[in-house]
Amino acid sequence: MIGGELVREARRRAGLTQGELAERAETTQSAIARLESGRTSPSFEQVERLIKLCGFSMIVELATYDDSDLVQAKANLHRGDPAARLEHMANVTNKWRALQREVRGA
Amino acid sequence: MPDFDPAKIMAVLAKHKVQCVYIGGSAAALQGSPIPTEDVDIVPAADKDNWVRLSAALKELDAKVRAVELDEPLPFDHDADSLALSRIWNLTTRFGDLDITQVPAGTQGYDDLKRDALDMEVAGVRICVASLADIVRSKEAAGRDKDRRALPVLRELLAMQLREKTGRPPAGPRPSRKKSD
Repeated sequence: MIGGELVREARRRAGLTQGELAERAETTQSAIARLESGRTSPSFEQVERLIKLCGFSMIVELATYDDSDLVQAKANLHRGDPAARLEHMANVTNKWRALQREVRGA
Repeated sequence: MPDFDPAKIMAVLAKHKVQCVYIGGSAAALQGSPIPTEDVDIVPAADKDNWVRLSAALKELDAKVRAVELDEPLPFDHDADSLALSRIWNLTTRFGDLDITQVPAGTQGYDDLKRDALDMEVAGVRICVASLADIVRSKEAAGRDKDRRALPVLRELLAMQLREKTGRPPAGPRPSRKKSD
């Protein structure tokens, strides 16, 4: 997770503009814009401070890294256009439903 | 239960010129998410004309109310005014489930989501899809188990999009053959 994206998420959830957050943080709107877009890399402490200024606290936890969903996501991204991805997802859903019906009927 | 065909739901909404932003699992699937979902989620523009168009589209979709306590989906009579009264409608249609939410968790509704939404063509119709960042924002705020399950891969996809924009290297794990402690 890029820290700037987390700041953007907190700011938008709080309904703040970049200018309003900048005012609270005693910095400039352009500094917030650079940070959110990933053009500058904030420190962990900076991210935590900005998130607090949006009215949130950051809870950090460690979990075992598992890339199985990401591998499938990458396959989806190579699946052509968005319509093909949607069709694939609907097919998966319908196949699971059919399997569930079969199991219930067995 | 009908086969889930989200593209057909989108086609009917587009045919009636319903202004909405697609959000949730189907919107995430359009952007690469591998998490299956069984419904289409929309956030409609909240003006009177749009509610009129949405009501017409729901009639064509033969939309009915779905709820855990109902044995069968409940037919309901609706118009622009009655649709606008409820912040959330959980419906089932001829092509699968459709959820209508005026203000999804963590957002300020249609105008907020429209700002960064993507314009996509799906099965021949133009649709407006919430950005991955906004889908993550909404799921994070909703905090349901199924949302939490989807968040890690959505965040990874979002990070991939940002890396493509900024050219920064991935921040994933670097497996080492040596144990350092």
